[in-house]
This record gives sequence, structure tokens and C-alpha cells, in this order.
Amino acid sequence: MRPTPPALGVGLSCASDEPALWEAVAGHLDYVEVTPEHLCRERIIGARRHMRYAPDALAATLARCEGLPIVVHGVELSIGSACGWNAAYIDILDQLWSARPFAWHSEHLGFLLAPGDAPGEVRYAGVPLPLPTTDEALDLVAPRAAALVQRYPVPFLLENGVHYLPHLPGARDEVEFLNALTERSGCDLLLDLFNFHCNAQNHGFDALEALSRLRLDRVVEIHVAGGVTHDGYLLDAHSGAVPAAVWSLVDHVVARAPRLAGITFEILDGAAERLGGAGMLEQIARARESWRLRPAAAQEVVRVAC
Amino acid sequence: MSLAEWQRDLVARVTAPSGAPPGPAGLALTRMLQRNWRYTRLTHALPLTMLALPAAGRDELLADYCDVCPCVSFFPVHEARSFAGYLARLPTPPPHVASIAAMEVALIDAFEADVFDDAATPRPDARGTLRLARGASRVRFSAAPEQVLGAALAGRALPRTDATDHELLVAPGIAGLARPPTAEERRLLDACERGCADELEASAAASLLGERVLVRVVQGAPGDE
Repeated sequence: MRPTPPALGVGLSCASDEPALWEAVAGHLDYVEVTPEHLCRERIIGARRHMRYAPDALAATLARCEGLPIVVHGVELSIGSACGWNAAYIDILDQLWSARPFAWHSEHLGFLLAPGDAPGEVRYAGVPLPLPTTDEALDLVAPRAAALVQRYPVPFLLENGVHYLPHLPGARDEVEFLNALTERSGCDLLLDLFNFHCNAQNHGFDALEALSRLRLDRVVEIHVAGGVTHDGYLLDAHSGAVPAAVWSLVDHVVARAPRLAGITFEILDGAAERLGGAGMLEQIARARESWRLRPAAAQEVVRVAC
Repeated sequence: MSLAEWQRDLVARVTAPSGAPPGPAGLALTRMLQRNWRYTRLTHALPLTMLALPAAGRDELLADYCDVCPCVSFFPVHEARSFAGYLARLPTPPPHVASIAAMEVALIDAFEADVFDDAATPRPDARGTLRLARGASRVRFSAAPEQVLGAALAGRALPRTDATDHELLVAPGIAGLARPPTAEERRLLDACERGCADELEASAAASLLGERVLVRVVQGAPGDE
């Protein structure tokens, strides 16, 4: 049986250590999303990667989150690599769980590590890449996701990615692949609606139609972010305010996702400092408007009125 | 095509050198984003170096670096080491830039030696009884280091090179992480690097051992590779 996520509310994912920024949003957040790799250093010895927390960075982040739940969003697992995932990420996840248990954890559905030309050689892509929607990819990722579902008594979510490549191999579309993956593995979904919007814009599909086919009962967290346009492509850049079209998708999903536990605003540190405290609070307030649309919130209002 | 073959092929196309056929628009964009991430990591890890790169030829230099040196990790430190090595190997590098990069990498090494609890172990490439410690570095400059680093930080023109051999020691145990060595220490460090430091010279070693610039290795003990 899948663990039930606690309904947390609105959270922030931002690597900035600017005190003024965190002071501005203090009291307006229900949780903080932490990326463990941002707090670590890595050594590569031969083919093996080793990560270790920088003690000051870990302590400062946990202190900043004092009194708030944390959720984890990793970037370096490379769950879809045919040459094996990055076990060093699992090590730091275990350490974080021991230091400060998290409400759930998530990773990107994609890959960073690929086989090289020589036997045993591994190449690093340098940018997250998508998976084909083939049976082989499903057979590879599903048991890995299932292992992560079992590893901690909290949900494990996979996040839909953004990509710009035409014609990925596979008979399924992205939604069919995500549905099959959650069904096979028992994992849940981190639905990044900016990524979804980007893919719809860039690859020419109807986002609402696609969402109507997605298993929204598996959505535990929503990501929202801002981006930029380049050469006719909408890019996932975490660079500022969330576009209105994405908030519309959020409102649509929140009302239909019964296990939704959080809406997270993602922004890069430099962009957050440019947006400023007031701009950050606007985005957080808009996310809270969406959060109030969830079915459970409506039931709470009815209970109070009665 | 298997998944492994498809991933190998896609990564090869995304990381292809600048002169490779551009491919479809989405692939060209992915390549550009990959390079932008690499530049961002360099700016994060080597801020002074990136400020000190001359504007003329900067883009070409960075593009050539990405063409010849693969990206190996999300962590900026690897990109920093790789770029510092690339600059050091250039036949005619821009003045001072390789030294600035080496200095920034040395500071990262000094910090990371404590993170990995191995500040008291020798560098993997060191030999002999007295060896340079894992988090320690000697960084050579061809002008006064404080002038070079100060100009880079302020965005001013870098000083002219001079004939004097300038050097800084960087290590986790040095107050402020860096200081110039004395002449006696330089002789000892040269001997250490040749793997032939004489214990009789070790009077100069006391401060270097205390500041974790050097470690003493007992022959046959762990760490004596």
C-alpha cells in the first residue's frame, strides 16, 4: 500500500542563501523543498562517484527550515541510465533521512549518465535528457522506482521532464508512459506543470487534453516555475514569475488531484534575488489561491460552515 | 537500437564539438543549453578566472575548451579543475589567467579536504616521506599575487608579468588559507615534489606540517601508495 502523503500546502524550492529573501517569505511557506546535491561536494575516483555533505551548508539549510517540513528533490540519480544509476545519490539521501526525515522525495524522470565507447566507460551528458517511451525504458525504470518506494516510509515521486528533441522513440506518448510507470512501480508523480506547458507548446499538443488522460490520483506534488523563449522554444529556466497559462493548468489539476500534498514554486537563486521578496510573495500567494481549490479544502469549508 | 545504444548516441550528439552538423533545431538547442550549463558552472566555481578572461577571443576559448574537455559532473568543481588544466596546457595562455584559475581550484581543494576528512592525507600524485597534503597546493604567479587577484576582482587590467617567481601556498591549516612560502620552505617543497625530501631539512617542515601543507608518511603505512 502506498504511503499517504501529508497535505502540506505551498512550498519553495530555491538554493539562495540570501537571508533577506528567506526573511521575506518566512511565515508564508508550509514546507521547503531541498535538493541534497546543492549541499554536497563530489569526488570521482575511477568510475565511482562519492558525495559528502559540506557540514556548514547542511546545517545552514536545516536551520533555515526549522519548524517546517522538508521535502527532497534530487537531480543526480539518473534513474533512467542504461549503464546504472548514480548510487552516490542514494548514500546522501540515506544520510539526510537520518539527519532530518522528509515528507516525501522525488527525482527527475530522465538520464544524465550514458555508456561510453569503451567497456565500462560512462559519459556524463551535462544536461538532463529524456527517456524514450519504450518497453525497455519502462522495464528499466519501474523496478528502480519501486525500490525507492520501498526504501523509506514516505512517497517517492518521479517528475515529468522538459525536452526539446523531436521524435523520441516509443509507441506511447508522455502521459501513457507516466501512467504505465506509476502503475508498474507504485511510485507517485511530481507533476511539473511548467515542463508540461513547455512540452505542449514546443511539441504541439493540447495540454488539457493530455492532462485529462493522466492519472491525477497519482499526483502528490506540483511544480511551477517561470521560463524564457529562445528561437521559438519555451525553455524551462526557473527564471521568474509563473505564466498565467501555467496557473490555469495548476487550477485545473488541483481540483482533480485527490492526493495532492503540495504546490512548490521553483526559482533559481539569482532569479529569486532579482524577483525580490515582494515578487516571491506574489507567487506564493497565487499558489495558495490554487491550493484552496483542492477537493479536500472544499470539504473543510463545508465542515466549518456546518 | 537498444536503450544503451540510443543513450550513447544521444549523448554523443549533445556533446558533439562546435563544428559538428547542427542536426534538428531541438538538438541544436539542447547542445546550446548543455554548453550554457558548463559556462554557468565555471562562473560559479571560478568567478575571478572568468572575470579575468580577455573579452577578445573569450567565446572562442570557451568553445574550444568544451570541444576538447568533456563534462563529467553536475558539480562545478570538476569543471573548474578541468578548465584550470586546460588553461595550464595552452601554449600561449592569456597572461595570469592560468594562475588565477589554479588559485581558485587550490582554494576549493583546501575547503574540500576538510569536507572529505582527508586534509591529513597526501596528494595521490605525491612521493617520499614528506608529501604535499591532499588539500594543499603551490600556486605560481608571474606578478605579485595580490595585484593579480585584486585586479581580477575589481575588473581592472591585470598587471604586467615580471621576471620574479611569485608563489602562494594554499592549505586548510593556513590562516586565511594562503600565504607566500619562505625561501627555506620553497627548497623543502621542491625536494618534496621530487620525492627526495631529507628529514634533516625538516626544521622548515614544522610550520608546513602544522598548517597541513605537508604530511609525513610512514613507509608501508596506509596512504603510502
